[in-house]
Amino acid sequence: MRLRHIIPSLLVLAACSTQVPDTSLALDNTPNIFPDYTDVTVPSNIAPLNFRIQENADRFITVMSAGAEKMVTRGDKVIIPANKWNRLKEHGTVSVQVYAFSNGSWSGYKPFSFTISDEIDPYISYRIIMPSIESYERLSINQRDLTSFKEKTIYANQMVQDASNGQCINCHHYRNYTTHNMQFHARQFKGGTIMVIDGELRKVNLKTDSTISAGVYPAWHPTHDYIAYSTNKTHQSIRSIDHNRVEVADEESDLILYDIRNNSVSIIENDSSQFECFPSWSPDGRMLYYVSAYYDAPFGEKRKDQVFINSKDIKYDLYCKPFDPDTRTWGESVLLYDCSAQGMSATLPRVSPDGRMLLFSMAPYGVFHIWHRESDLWMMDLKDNSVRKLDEINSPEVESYHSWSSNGKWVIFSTRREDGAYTRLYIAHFEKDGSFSKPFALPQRNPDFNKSFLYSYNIPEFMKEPVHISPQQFASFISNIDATPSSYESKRGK
Amino acid sequence: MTKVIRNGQKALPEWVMKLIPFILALALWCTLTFREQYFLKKVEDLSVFLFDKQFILESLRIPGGILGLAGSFLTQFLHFPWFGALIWVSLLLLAYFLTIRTFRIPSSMSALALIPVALLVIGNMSLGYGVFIMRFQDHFFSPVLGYLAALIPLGVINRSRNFLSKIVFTAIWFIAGYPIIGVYAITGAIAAACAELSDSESLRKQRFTLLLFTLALAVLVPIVIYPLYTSYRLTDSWTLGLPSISEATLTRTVRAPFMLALLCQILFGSARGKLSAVSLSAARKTTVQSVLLIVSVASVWGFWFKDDNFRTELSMTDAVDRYDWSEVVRIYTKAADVHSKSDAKAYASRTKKLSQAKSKDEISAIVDSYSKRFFEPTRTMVMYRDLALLKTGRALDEAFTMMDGGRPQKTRYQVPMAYQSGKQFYFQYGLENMCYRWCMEDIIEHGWSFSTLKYMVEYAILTGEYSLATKHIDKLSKTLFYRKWARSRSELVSAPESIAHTKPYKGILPYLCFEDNMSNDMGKTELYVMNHFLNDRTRNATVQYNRAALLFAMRTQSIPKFWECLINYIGSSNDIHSLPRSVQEAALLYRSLEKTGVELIYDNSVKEGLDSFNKYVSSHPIRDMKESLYPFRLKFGKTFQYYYYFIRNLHTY
Repeated sequence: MRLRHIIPSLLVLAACSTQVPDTSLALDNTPNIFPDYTDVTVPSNIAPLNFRIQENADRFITVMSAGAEKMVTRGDKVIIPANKWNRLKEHGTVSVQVYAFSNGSWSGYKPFSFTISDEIDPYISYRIIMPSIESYERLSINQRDLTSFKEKTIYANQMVQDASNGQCINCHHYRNYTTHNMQFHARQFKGGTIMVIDGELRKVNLKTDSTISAGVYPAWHPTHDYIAYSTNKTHQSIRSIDHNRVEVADEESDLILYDIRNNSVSIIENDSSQFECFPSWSPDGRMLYYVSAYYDAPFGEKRKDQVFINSKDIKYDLYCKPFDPDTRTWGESVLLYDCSAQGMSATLPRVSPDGRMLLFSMAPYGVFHIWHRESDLWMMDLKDNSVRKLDEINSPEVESYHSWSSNGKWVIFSTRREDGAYTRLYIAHFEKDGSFSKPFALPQRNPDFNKSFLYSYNIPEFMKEPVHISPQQFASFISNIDATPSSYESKRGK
Repeated sequence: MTKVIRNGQKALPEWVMKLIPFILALALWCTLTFREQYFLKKVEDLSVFLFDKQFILESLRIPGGILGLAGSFLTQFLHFPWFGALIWVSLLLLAYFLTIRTFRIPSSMSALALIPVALLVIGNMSLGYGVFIMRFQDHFFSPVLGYLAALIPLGVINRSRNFLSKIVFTAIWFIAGYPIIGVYAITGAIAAACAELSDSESLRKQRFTLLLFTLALAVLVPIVIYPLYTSYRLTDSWTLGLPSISEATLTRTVRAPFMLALLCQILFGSARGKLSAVSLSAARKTTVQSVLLIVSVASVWGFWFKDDNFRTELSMTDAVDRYDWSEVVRIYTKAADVHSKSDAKAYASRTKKLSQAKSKDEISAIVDSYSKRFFEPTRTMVMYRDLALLKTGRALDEAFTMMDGGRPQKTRYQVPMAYQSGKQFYFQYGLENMCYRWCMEDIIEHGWSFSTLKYMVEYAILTGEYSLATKHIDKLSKTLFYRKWARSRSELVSAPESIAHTKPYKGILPYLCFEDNMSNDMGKTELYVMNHFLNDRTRNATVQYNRAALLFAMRTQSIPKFWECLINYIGSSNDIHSLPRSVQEAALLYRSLEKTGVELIYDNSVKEGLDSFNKYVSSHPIRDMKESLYPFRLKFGKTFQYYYYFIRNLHTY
């Protein structure tokens, strides 16, 4: 073999190896990667942040380093082995440098870093659903191990429904982040509220003659055996040309309290001129936060249509209501934040585990913000009731359902920022100064997963442990057990 | 069995019987390619196969999923109907010969193998409108692939002489086969055990043991495997892999032919020992073969869905999806022309019968019985035609000169127009969110398809949601036959300024001049579209929008709406002097009826036309509208007055 053949071959070999380039042109921008993990703060127990480099070049070399640990990968798809990732994370900050080879020379992008921070609850659960309008052929509530990429189904409606009888499942919820006490709703076929009470399954019909519907949005009391629910008569309509495709609105909406031990419900709020919704407890269980909108229209056949006609005028304010769990008595409701006065509408109040911060989403109108592109996350400091829009984590698209981790260091929220239609989960670190770090997408084994996956995630909830009941146990129980009717108790306290 | 010999009677020559399956296959291929090409294209259009890891993993979430994946893979070749049909017919031919070989069917009864094959053909070709509501879009190829796969245990177990190896193979077959091919693994194993039972070579005890073992596994394996899956009910475990529809009763109907084909395998298996020993006389041989052949072919023909309107709808859909508007109109016109002879024949025959009728009831009965023999388009055909005429600006000139009507779908699978062509209509009329809605509903009920992916891309480009468009373009770029299309859309997304000048968006943008409102179509696309144009508020309505509104006002035969829309149309077109003839006819008719409305300058021929119509009506009194429909159509079918008086009370879909 002649020299003129050998040299190019060696050059090719060198170029194809994972050798870090000795010299490169320094670029002043970080590379465009998907998901955007540049300069994010991540939990110390999170799964590897695999990503794809979205730049035009012939070849890529990525160098990750932390302390003495170093990992070099080749190609635009950066997959980090779990053991390597764990070693890198131990050093607190992982520095990432991407080199690109094009036009015969190497360029080095501006390095970025992963800052390793507090632990996060090891599990989350969410519902997998198509971004659909009415049909719900395939729904499942899944749990994901955040320390790895393992995902399991908690329950899927296809395990019970048949070709003619559909079943909708929604509103999975846990008591204090543990799964020995949890609930979700199964609607229509074989329907009922499915509860796990101290590990035992129960199926309850929360609809009584004195309430407008079965329980809908739940809030499990942190210390006592109560669950606050909203009760709603909800309808959906389609906007013909608006960029918000769908409108979901309540014709009626109240709050009830379910007493688990007595299997009874009582009214919390049922003002006929108010739509009370989305209850959420303070960590000590002595305050119930919720949203409510004033709507005073006559009841009757036309009310449903009227609600949609007036939909842009229905604005929800933030309220709180004191509660004594020992005596089960309520105090007077207090207007916490007058959103409507500012032409806005709040939903989904969620209090941080230390009881200090109230996170909620807000849009110009309505209560079902997953269909409102203007919806953003806002936060109220309950110490001084100051309110702030969380610009550091919001996007031009929807930010909606959000949950605090059990240590209050992280929030997970659903957003449609990637394409405007498919809801994805993002996590952000709550900093000591009350701000949030740059949010990062839930890590996936395949970095292209979010682009490829044609389902939405919704209702992300943190869990300290996985659900122990198998999907088959849930399915068998739901199929074979009829819902126990709950009884109605008249209101106690004011 | 007794061998019967009758002198003087000849059997069919051997080579004839060998040739028959090939002749039948050729006939089937020709019919599929030249007569059912749009049905095959629609099957492909409603299916999807992506060279994508996510897509492949998704198919593994149910036993039988890999069979479905293989079915989807082959379905994409129906993109070229001749080629897809060739694959399918070849598989059917293979099923025929393997059935003969596996069940040792003697040549004297080889036509017996036509029965399961005929059932497989019936299963697909009886579907008709059902194709729009199938749950899994691999249904065209999966049954024949499943049928072939189910023959594997028969072949393997039969070759094995060792009892233990038969038991081991059966166990492995169930454990490995059930997750891959679902119910076909079960029926194949049962057929194999039955075949063993009917064979006299092995020990009787062993044969029964194998059958009991197989039946036990058939019950137990799906139960044991069930906890590995979360996507179906335990009770459905023994039907997984079979086609289904989003309604329980119809699912049984759809599955029946395929289940019968599998039953044939079990029956043939049970009779295998006896079948191979059958010896017939030449005469009986001929009779048996002929009867089996005739029954099979007649059954296929009898169950074949042969509705002309359905075929026309499919070919029109194909043209609509290509935005070939002149082709849409041409297909419609041709469909009406093709039937002109048969209509004339039916009219002559009916006239003869009516002349002999004595009572009013008898007349009415004759008219009713003949009404289905006259050609009448479906609402989908009319809607497609109107859409095409609107897109080419010819709607007000030509829509009412063409045949109209509202023949219901001739099928047990009643498919809402929204599922059949909702996304097309809503997209083309600029009802963006309704287009999204029906793409999504379709996806949820029936799975992703090339068609929904394409319309999701089109929707997102129209609304300027380029990230969303790119997501679905990426999916289509992972297909064999839509890559080029995906590339063209990708180029548009990267140069959005050209969208407004590009087909089809250019023809849709003039319709986007209405104000947002909230509503629900309740699955009735035609009604929703008409109400939208007639009732929704607009901002600076374009002439195209007002033209459509006027067309739909004339369709609804609402006189106040007509005047309202006419004024709007004249206002935007600035042309009162050359109004289309149908519009003049409607205006003249309505003014003569209600003495109100706008006074127009009418062409003389329009006035003469109405006079002529009125004179004809007075000289030919109408005793039954249905009876007079055809003669009036011949004479006045191209006038609005005919439409107004004779095309009434149509059901909207």
